[in-house]
Amino acid sequence: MIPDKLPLSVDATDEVSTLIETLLKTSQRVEELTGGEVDTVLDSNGRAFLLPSAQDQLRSNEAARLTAILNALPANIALLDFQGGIVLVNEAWRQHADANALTVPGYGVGLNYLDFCDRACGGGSSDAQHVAKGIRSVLNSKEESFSMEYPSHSPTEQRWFLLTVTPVARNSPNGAVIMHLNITERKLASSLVVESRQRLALATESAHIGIWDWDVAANKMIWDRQMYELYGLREQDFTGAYDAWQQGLHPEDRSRAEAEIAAALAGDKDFHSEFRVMWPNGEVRDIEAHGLVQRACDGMATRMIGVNWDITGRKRGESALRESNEKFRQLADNLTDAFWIRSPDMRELYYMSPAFARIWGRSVESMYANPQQWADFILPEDRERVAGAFTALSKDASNLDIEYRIVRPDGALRWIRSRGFQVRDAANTLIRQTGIMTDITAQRQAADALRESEERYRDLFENASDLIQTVAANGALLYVNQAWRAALGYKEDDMPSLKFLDLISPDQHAQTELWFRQALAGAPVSLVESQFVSKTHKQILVEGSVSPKVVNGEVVSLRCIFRDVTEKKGLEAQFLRAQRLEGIGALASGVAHDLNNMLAPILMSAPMLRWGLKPEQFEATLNTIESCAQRGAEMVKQLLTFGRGVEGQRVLLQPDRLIREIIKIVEGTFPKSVRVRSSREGASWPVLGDPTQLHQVLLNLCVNARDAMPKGGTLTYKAENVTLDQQYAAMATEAKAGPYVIIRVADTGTGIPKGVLDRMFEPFFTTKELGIGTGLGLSTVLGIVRSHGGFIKVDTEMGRGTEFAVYLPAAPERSLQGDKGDPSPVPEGNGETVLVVDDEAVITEACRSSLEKHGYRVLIAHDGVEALTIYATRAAEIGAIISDLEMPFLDGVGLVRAVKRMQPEARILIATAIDSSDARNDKVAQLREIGANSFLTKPFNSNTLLLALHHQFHP
Amino acid sequence: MLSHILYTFRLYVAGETPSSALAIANLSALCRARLPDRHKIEIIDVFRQPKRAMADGIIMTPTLFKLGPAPIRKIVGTLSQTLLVTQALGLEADAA
Repeated sequence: MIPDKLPLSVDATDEVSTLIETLLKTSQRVEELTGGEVDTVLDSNGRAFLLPSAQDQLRSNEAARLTAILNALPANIALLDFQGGIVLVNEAWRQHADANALTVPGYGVGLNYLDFCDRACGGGSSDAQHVAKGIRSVLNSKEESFSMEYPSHSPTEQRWFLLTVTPVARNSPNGAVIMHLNITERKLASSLVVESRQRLALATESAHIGIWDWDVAANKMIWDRQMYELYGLREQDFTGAYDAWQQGLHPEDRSRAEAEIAAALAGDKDFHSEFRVMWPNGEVRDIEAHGLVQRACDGMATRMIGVNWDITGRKRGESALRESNEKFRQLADNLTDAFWIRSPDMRELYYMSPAFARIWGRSVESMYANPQQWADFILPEDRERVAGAFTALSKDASNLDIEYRIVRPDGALRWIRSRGFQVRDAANTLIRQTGIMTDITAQRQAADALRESEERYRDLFENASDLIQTVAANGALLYVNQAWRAALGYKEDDMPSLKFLDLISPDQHAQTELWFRQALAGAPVSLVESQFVSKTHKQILVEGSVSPKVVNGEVVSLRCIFRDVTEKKGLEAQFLRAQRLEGIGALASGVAHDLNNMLAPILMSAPMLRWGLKPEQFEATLNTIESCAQRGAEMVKQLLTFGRGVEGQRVLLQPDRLIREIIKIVEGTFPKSVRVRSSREGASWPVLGDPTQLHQVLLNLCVNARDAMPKGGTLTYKAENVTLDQQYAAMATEAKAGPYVIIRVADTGTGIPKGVLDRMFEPFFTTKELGIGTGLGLSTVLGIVRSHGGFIKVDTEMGRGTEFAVYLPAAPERSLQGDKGDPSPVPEGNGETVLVVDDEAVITEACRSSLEKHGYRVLIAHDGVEALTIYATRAAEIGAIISDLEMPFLDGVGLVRAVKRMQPEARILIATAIDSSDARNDKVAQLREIGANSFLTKPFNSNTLLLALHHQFHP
Repeated sequence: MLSHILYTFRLYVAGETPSSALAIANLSALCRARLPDRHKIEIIDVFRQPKRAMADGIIMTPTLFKLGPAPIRKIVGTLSQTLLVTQALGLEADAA
């Protein structure tokens, strides 16, 4: 308030005193007026005047605040005046003095701090001298501040202090603040850091742990020496950039490790990683890495510090172990048997393979949860036995192998085979028990089934009434059944010494050896008849079969099943004898009947001769008599052959002629009420047969037909050619594919009732009155027809008549040699076109005239080439080709080959002078090979040509 | 209904003098108690802003200047006598 440079004059003293008086009074008055509620008053310019009480309070407040601050500070603080005198000290100072027994009155306040220092210098403390100098330079404004660290060790501890000297006012010497700060902790800490850093370096080096420090923002990585070793790099080769580190990683692990780093930087998780590094020389090492991220206050990662170490050895061990474990697991998991490992005392379960669940129907987990519970699932009957076996396993060194039954949760029984083994270490100490449980239910069931089946069969064999025996190849008896022993009287004890032949009646030995050898050769023998001799020399007639038992392609034994037919044979013999007697009687009457049929015309003719006849009638009658007598004689002969079963002769016969002969007989002898007709379709093919037998067949059928028409009717004969194809043969068992002649004998009689139809071919079956028929007629007919390779079909309708169709195999190719000059008409053509090929015009013209006369159209070619040209253009039109074999340009063989290629079904007739049955002939062989089988032997006449051609069109 | 009326105060003080500090404390307490959420206090140090004191015609500190609601009032002192202060500020009716 008072101007700094006011020259104070004596004159002004009074006025100043007065003004102060006024000021004080004014202040007091204002305070009175405002009741102490106001601390300033303001003049009209807004300038504030602090009232005295407020001034006092402010000043004391200020001092108190300053003191409090000083006392709150932990450093020892003293305020010095400009000369170095101590103005005040703080609480820490005082406490320090108390604690260190520094007995300075008033804690040095009022004394000069510099004197202390100077005195201490006398004691040789260079520090104190240095301090004194520093304080002086600050007090004199020579230095802005001064500080130094110094040790001040007490008898009990090491201490360090930091001394700072700060001027109170910067520009004028106005004292200073001295502060001693105890920095012992910091000192100690920093020396600890150095020490621990050394220890860490030692540790990391010996543990091969590399330490890295990455300044993220600056992208600078600092590695310690170990890091370079871990990455196989030299210090000068590493740029310190992140990329340089990343380049050192194994390519396969690089992206993963980088992702983990990125995640750590992003704060998602800490950096704990394992990866491989690839050294510049290609060596691969496994590294484990950990890192911590440091962040700025905005959360950005600034720095990452971490460690790396080599885990290659551990990794390799781990992977080997893992591989081994994996192999074991795969093996155990895929075993269909359950595999287990238990503690030596069996109480703990270390492992149970998944197959357990499949076999036992219970989870593996439940087994782990309660390792002893499995015993409860064993069938109660087996439980004790199993427990005993397992106890033995846990005690003895013996292995376990036991079969038992368990009950699955679904109630099903399973058979288990359990095998256990002890596992011992090198010192032979039992370390664990292992075992395998196999589901043998199916095997058990199969074994049971087999046993049952065996029992069943043994039972069957034992109780069979047949004599069953198994004979070894050397004749030893391997097995005989109950019936066998009973029949032959041998006991079980006798068996070893017995041979099969011992059982056979000696007169049967040769025969027995025959079929025995046959059976040993592998062929089953059926319908064996033999005679056994029992122990008591009783003869036993047997029949049965023998079948070889073959093992690995070799006959090891023979199974013989025989039946005692001693009694049956006796009965059969009696029956046959009776039958034979009956048969002879029946035969006699039957023969009489047939003979009567023959004798009747003779007897009827004889009176006519006596009456005298016209010469031509006379001749005819004599012929009839002769023919009938001849037939009768033949019939007698045939009866004899029939009795003996001798095959008749085989000659080529023309069925038409047979029919004509029969008709001749029938017309002469049958009643006039029976009209006889015959119808023909062209010439029938010849058949091979016995004329007498076939006569008998037809005659028999005629007689039957006559008998079926007591009131008369029509008897029709008909012969026709037919070719049965495979389809027909397949449908009729007796028929074979091929040409047949059917001789039909039809009547208009009563028809055959169903019951008779079924049985009429049986021997001795007859519908005729006793003494009239033998019952052998139709059975003989059938026998004869069958012996000719034919068969009979019967078509009958009650009240309308019956037709017997006799099918006889025909031999159409034999027809040409057969009936020469047979006046049977030649078959006519039906407008078919025939290509005639021959190089001789005489022949082609002769063929043309006879073929055209008989209804064919004819084309002529004079050599093979011309023929082929014609055929190529008119193939559809040409129905058949008749070709010479020997021709210029293209011979018959070439022509046939070419034509067959165009039309495989073409009808070709080869005309040749060569014997077509001579297979050694080249051309014939070639022709047959290409399918030309029809030959016309030169020279041929018109009829032969027409027949052969007709056969081409109607095979 | 009246409780939404905003009270605007201007308190003139002189630095950290005891009466000024007391006045600030008393005014704050009064406002918190009687005018929660509907008061606005501006504190002006006359040492720092002598021009504003002059403009408002302040001759002593502490002085409380009620700017609104009408009528405008000036109260000098530490504001320790709460009853008198509330009467002077017209807060009685408001409190009821």
